[in-house]
Amino acid sequence: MLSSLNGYTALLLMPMACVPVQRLYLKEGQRYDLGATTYVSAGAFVAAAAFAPVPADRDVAFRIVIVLGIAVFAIFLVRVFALTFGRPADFTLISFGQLWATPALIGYELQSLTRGSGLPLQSVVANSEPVALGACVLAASLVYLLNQTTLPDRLIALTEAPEQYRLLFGSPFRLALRLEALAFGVYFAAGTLLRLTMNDLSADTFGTETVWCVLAAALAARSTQAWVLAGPVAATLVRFIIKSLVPARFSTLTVYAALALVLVLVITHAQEASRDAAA
Amino acid sequence: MENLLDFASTGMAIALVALSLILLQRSQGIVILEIIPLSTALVLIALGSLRKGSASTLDTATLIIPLFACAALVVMFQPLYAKWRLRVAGESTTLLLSFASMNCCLSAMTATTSNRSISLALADSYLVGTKDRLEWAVIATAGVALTGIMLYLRQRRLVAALQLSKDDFRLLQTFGRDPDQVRRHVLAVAIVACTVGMILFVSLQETFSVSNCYAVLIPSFAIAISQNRIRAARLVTASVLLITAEGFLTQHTSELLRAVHRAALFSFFILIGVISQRVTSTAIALKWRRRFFGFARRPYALQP
Repeated sequence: MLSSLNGYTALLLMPMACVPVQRLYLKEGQRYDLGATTYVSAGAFVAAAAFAPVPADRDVAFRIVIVLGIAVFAIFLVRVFALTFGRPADFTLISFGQLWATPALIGYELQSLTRGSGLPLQSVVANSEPVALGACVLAASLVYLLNQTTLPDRLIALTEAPEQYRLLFGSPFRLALRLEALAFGVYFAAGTLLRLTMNDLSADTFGTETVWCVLAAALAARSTQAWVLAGPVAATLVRFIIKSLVPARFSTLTVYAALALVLVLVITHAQEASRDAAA
Repeated sequence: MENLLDFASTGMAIALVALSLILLQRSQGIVILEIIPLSTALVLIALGSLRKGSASTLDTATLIIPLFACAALVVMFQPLYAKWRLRVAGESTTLLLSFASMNCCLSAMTATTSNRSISLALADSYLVGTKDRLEWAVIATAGVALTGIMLYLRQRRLVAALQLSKDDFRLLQTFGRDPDQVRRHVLAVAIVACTVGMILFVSLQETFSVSNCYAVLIPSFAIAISQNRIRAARLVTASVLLITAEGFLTQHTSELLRAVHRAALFSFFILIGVISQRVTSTAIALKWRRRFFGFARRPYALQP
């Protein structure tokens, strides 16, 4: 049991690496980000292209990187626009679009370039425990550093009172640009970590990984300081239990059921946020 | 012309599903996405009996338990969504919960049917004969269904009630209407509209499985959230334009990229929604209209 749990520390990496930004968007911005998959997949394929031992595989990975790079650029602009002018729900909806489009784009590229056989990757001989520990330290320090900046306060102001934000600070475009640049940096790094721990860069991998990141962020949203790390750890534990006990054909069903259950718990434990609800 | 007929018939079917989602958006404050798997299961059970296929065809009896589970989920969550949306002061959490519940139901249905599909090919049946006839029949049926639903909503004064009940249901009580009853009524109408739209969409396909319902969900969801008023003509125009754009993109690229085009157009429609909200909130449109009319009147103002 313990030895198999040890092997699952690799699964902790991505939720742990993504949780600071996901939590920032969720707690301060009331936005769920299901679209991390676009940046993460770009990072994973860049790492795959950089370390591919066979030139033919490197060319395939490089071509996928070019396509994903164009998609990343387009989606970066769309997300900045939604952050600047849209409501929190608009950003969440844009991320739904990313969740649908990115795996389909990767699936198409793999289908057309490798006839669906996938990209053969050399397994990275890395001890997962130090990398997972490093990710924990990185996540904790990133949360600490983010709290030292004005980004959380500005995002709260933009979410709660956009008109007043414009009067006080001017256009929210610069804030949106900084937030998205931060998100891109962190998710891209998480993607390279994913390549270090996983040898299957298929279309399905990226969709499921993002759902796990959202689940980890939803669990971490109400916690403070070091307890922020409890969300990804709990999500990984749930993932371990699902992978061990649930048959593969019901795994997607169970993942979404777990997400729904967590969201119900989050809502029922939320304090009354609007005057109408309190009334 | 052939393409146009194809896009128009698909667009009309999608418009009905979009109407059901926009009705829910107005009455509950969020789009209750669980009605998509519910309608899909109902449609597959209804249409699955039309043409008995081989042993590899979807066995519609396997859908009955997930169908009841989905219906129970809709009944259970429907009164809670409006309350929860106010509780967490935003749509994002409730929207994601609805999305997760929908995916849960869809995964359950896909697993129980082993992702098998039903073969329809109604255009080849002796009653229809050609694909053109089937498409004209779909357009006519969708037109009648849309008109009927809009007339029913107006006759029962549900459109006015929807505007009132979105954020503050107490307003409805001042007009002597029970808000819960109005919501249930709208939910029933939405399920009927969604099921009719799904039947029409599925009948245009050669084969259809549970996982194919994203082809209906994504465009109809995009149209529903980009609309700020319940106007049948606008819905039809938007859905025909969206389906035409998707069709032309697919024709000039690869069929495998259809899901990507769909998702890209979904994001594009959200952007249109954001821009229109921004234009309304900053009164840019009003300012430009005034400037335009001021400019048009100026020559007359100079005359003595």
